[in-house]
Amino acid sequence: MNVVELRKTDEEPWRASLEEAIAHIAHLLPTQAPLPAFVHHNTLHAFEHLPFHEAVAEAQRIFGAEPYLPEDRFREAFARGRIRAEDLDFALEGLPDADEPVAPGLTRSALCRLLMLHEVEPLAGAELDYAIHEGSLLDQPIEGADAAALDRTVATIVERGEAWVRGRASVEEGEAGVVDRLGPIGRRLRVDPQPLALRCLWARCLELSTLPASRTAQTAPWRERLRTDHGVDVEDELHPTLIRLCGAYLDGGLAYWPMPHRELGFYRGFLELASASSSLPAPWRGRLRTEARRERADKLDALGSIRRSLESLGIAPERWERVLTDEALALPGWAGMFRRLQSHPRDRVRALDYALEDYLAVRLLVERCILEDIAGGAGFDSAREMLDAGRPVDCSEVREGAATLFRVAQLAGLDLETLEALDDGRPLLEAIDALHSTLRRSIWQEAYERQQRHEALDAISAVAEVQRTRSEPQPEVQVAFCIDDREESIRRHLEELGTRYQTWGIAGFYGLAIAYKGLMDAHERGLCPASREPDHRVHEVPQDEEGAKRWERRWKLVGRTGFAGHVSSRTMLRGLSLSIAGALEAVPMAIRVVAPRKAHRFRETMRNAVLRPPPTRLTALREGELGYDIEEAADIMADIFQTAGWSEFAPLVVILGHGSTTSNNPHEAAYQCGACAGGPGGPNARLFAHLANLPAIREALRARGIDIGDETYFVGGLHDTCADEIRLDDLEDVPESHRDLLASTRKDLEAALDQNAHERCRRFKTISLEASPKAARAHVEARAQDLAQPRSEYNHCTNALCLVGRRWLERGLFLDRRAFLVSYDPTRDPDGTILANLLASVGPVGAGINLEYYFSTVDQDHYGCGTKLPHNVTGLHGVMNGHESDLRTGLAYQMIDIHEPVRLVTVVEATVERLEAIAEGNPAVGRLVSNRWIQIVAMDPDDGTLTELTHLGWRRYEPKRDQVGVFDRSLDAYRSTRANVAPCRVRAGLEKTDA
Amino acid sequence: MLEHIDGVALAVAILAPALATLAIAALMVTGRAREENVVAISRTAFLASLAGAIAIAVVVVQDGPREITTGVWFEAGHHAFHVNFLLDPLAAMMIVLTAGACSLIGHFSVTYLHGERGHTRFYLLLDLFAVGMLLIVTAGSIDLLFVGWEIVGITSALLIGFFHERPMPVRNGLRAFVTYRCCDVALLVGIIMLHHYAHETGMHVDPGRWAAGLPAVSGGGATVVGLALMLGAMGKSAQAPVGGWLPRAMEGPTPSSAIFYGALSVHAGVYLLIRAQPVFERSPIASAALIVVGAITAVTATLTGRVESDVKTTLAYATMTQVGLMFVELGLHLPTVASVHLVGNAVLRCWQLLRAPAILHELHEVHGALEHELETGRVLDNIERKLPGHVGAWLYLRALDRFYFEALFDRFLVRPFFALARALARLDEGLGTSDTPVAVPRRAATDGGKR
Repeated sequence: MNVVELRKTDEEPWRASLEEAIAHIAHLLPTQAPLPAFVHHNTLHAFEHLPFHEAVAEAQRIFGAEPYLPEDRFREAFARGRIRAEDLDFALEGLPDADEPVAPGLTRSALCRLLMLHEVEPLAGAELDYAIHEGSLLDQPIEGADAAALDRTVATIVERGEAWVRGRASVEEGEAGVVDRLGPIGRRLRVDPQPLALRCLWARCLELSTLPASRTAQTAPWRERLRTDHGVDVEDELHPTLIRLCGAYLDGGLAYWPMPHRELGFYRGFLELASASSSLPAPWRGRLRTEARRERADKLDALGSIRRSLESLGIAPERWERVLTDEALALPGWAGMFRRLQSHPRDRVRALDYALEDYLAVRLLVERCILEDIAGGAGFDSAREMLDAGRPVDCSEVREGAATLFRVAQLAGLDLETLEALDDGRPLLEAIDALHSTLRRSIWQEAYERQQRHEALDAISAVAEVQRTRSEPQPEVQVAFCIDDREESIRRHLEELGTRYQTWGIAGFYGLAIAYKGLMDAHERGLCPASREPDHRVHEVPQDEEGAKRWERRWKLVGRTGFAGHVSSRTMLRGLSLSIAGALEAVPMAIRVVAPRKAHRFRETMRNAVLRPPPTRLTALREGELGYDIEEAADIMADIFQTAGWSEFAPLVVILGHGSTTSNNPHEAAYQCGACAGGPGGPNARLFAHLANLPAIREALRARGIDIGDETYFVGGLHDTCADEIRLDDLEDVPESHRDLLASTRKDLEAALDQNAHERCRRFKTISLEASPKAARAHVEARAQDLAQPRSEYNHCTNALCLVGRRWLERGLFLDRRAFLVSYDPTRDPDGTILANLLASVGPVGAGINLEYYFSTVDQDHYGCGTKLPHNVTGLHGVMNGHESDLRTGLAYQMIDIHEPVRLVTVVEATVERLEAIAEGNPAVGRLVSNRWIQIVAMDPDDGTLTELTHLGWRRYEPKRDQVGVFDRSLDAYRSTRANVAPCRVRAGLEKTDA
Repeated sequence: MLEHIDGVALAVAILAPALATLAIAALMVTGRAREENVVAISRTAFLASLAGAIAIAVVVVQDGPREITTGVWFEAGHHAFHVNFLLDPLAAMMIVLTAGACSLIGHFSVTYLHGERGHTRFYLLLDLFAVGMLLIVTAGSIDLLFVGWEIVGITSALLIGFFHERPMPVRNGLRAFVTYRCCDVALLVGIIMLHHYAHETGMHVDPGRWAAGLPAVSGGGATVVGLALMLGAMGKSAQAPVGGWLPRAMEGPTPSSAIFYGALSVHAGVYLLIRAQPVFERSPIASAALIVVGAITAVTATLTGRVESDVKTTLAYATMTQVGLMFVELGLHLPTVASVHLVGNAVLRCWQLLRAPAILHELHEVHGALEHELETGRVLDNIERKLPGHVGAWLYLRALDRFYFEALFDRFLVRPFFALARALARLDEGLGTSDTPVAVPRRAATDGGKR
């Protein structure tokens, strides 16, 4: 049945308005891909058109999510010096009307600082009663109160005498509560005047804030109103049913029995199922059956059904979008998955229709039936009548204002006479209200970032200044790594071995946007940034197709057995025999839990004995639909070399992609290469190296100005960032002339890996800081295989920086695994086109990673997915928290627990003018830069001066180079601490003699 | 000394986790609980317990089954409550399984729960659970078994609600707890009836049997006792119609789900019924009831498991299916088969639940090999697909709704019960003071979340 035919008329205006509303809502939903294709992205990508601070505040309004860290975390950072007073001063400069007085002797800026440094949480209702009667609100000055002002108030009341104070009490005759509170004053006066002074202040504050608060009550979503008015929760009935249905429909192969009728689409398939519903378990199910049959008979489509639901609930068309937004955001994960599969067909495992409107139609249909049920039970004729009867709740309270005023007066040193001189407390209260937590935290955030940014700039500048005076010796081996922050340390360790090594930072797909199918993969997957579509297909095939047949048969047999075991163990009779024999599983279970590394090695040995894959090759050059033409490949490769400024080639060049082996981790793809859309970048590196060795390609490259000499040989491989292993490909092809060099390089790579593992291990509390590099290496290897390990590696957890510039100027710079390093040579880019292209590709990748970490850290519930421990994999595409929750998107607690949420400091070797021109020319980069989703810093290519874009505009920064630490080796810089280490200089490996 | 090795081993096996529980509780109370201490205490206790368990197994295998008497707890009239332990091959097998699983999960959780806020609480409950489970499998009388049974129940509920800052875990923990309590009433009735009919509740070594059993009761007594014990076992072992809590129990950290609902707790009911075989052997009615309950559970659970699309729920239903079959085996008086089935299933499910987060990885490998077969549906040639369309949809929807067991309970038992409670409360208020109920003040909901 064609859906188009079902529509009665396409001209109906309601249809257009619903479509428009749904299109708006779609932008608010999480856009996370199914987990196997997880790619880091800016959680608030849809808000990038707004400046960062406005965007997070807007998202807070819509989602109720936290925009920044909690204020006490900032206060704590201030207390331990992570935020300096000068940072706070600078950040406060951005406050509008900073110098305007809001009370006698109190500027807005001073008030803001007070509110930032001292906690003045809103107090109202029972909490306030408690603070007054049981706590010490009126008995003791609050922490941070101005003692001198209190003394002045005491002096005032002592001068005025007891009669005045009593009279003061009688003024408040009408307010029983206040009299109550002033009651014991007489007795207390002789003992301690402070409480009395505070009570007089409190009385004045009450007078000043008698005006009703100006807040307007909103109408809450009907779910909340039903909870308050009738004590029922629609979601109790709705969500279990809906979640199971969504799970069944979206399932990618976990359920043995797929949902019948799903080929009709979610909404129409559901109608078929619901028509068989039974009213036995709950009356609404009977109603659902009737309604489903009616909608089926009326040949409604999803939009028609949504309209019917909204109208039957009495929702006026102008409120449709609002209501639909509430409905979609009630389970944003599930709604978002429908939306994602709708807009990204490549993510689909099944060839089905996915549509957000289907989800909303089903949700509203079920909800409508439940609501009617509840309305009947509550004595209403219809749900419509029940929803109309709901009233907005007014929550404002006069005393709340007084409580705030009272504490601010103490902090700001406003004494009684000053408060008496005010004839209206409203301006001050409004000023306090305007300096709400979100605003204050935006100032904190600026201050928090400034300190870290300047520390980094100091070191970058110090190293660049030294390196500028040196000339770079010819390396014997060049190693290209991904720009990933996790590769920063291994590059450093390799270079510390001497000037023999030179490393490069190139986005890990190496320009080759391929759809790749490995020998043992079921499907092709894109290995290129998520923003691009793969433009070539490359497969890994056996070198000897005939000889591989036997292997393939064995492999399929093992797969079939495994699958049969998986399915059978869950069925009844086959499961009976398997579970009777289940005791045998105790052996592998115990071994894998107790000795994961040994168990893994044993399994690998066994696997290689039985199932060693045949030697393979890539379909690099065109074979039918697969592979590259020489000219295409040469264009891409020339571009890569030119961008990096790579023009001289060492005898051995190693090209490394990266990936990550982790066990028992549904978020495995998040640990892979971000530039390969959550896939391991090994195939790209292997392909690049293979192509670069082809004489035809070298010829073509020479025509493009890239001259690779005959003595140069390329080797591709993969760096496993979790187990810290480097596997090189196609070693059997390496010519005899290069074998020795390769062997010594591999030895050095191993040594660098040991050091790298050692540096990583300082972040893991479960291994001692004193462990040796070898022990650290064994530890990370075990981590990769340990089923019990929720933090197999820390991924991008410490990311904070991105450097785009010449590697030589960064050599000897210790960045604590916190920086993306992008090789770029401004001297070979006269007109800035290379930089523009580079930023267009790495900008969104780096910012996406950084911002996803930012948001998952500041709000684990809304933006992150909480702790991994109860995660439950659903339908091969997502995780729920335990049993039947929303699909959880974002990063888990175990991925962010040591993350400092700062926006990516992006230092580019370019002038301000060039950066501004690029931002203007490319909207995607421009939004990130000018709306300050990243903190951009221009480093002048000629003299190294630094200019940063702050909230006050472009500002020159004078680095304090002399404050930068200098160490012999990286080890000395990071040894014996688990905390972040300030960027510094490392001397090893800079002189030729070191080799 | 050597002649008391069984007693010593038993004491070590049970007391080690008991002392660990107390030690961790003391650390918690004094605010000195640190991850390393808690882990060290638990690890030592579990290893000691495992050593004790293995020693017991060796002794039982070499020198045959035995009873260990430690004394009388209290006496009332001619009823005496003995604190007796029974070590026979079944107990030996279960005690090794229990101590082994606890040690393994304890080890697994050191890494898995590292840095988690509830780390201490988790180990406290895990140690306490070990005590309860060990009491169940070594108890020489059903009275003592009941003590362990209750400990297991409360720790299970508390671990389901481990993430108590979210509402669903708490709610589902409560559901499990209420189910347990209701079924425990039946178990208690069964115990009282056993006292009534048999005048004792001890289990004694019988040379003719592999597993010792409860005292035999004949005639109507056997049916009454048998049915009551069955009802008691149905709660813990999640049998239809009261098993709806089991999939909901998957709210806690993965290792606790593995040990409770994969390995041990869920099989406690089966263990009880194996011990109660002498009773069932004398009551065809109770045996038939076991078969019916088990068969209904197995069939509905396997169908439900087939339609569920999340890994932990499918495993919950797979477990339930097999436990249902164990009930059938026991109804058919095949305790040995049930025992082997129990141990095998416990190990298999525990292992599958521990690996549940790896399912994407594992299936990815399989899918690579089976691409063609999966897409043509050849490997999924199952019965459901052969059902005619409307019958298939009808059955599918019921499986997805878990055969309405929970919904029916809610509609016909829980809601009327709460309505009654509310009516009584109103009556109570009407009779008492006429104070209006205290309104809980709400934090302002309209400040746009800006604070």
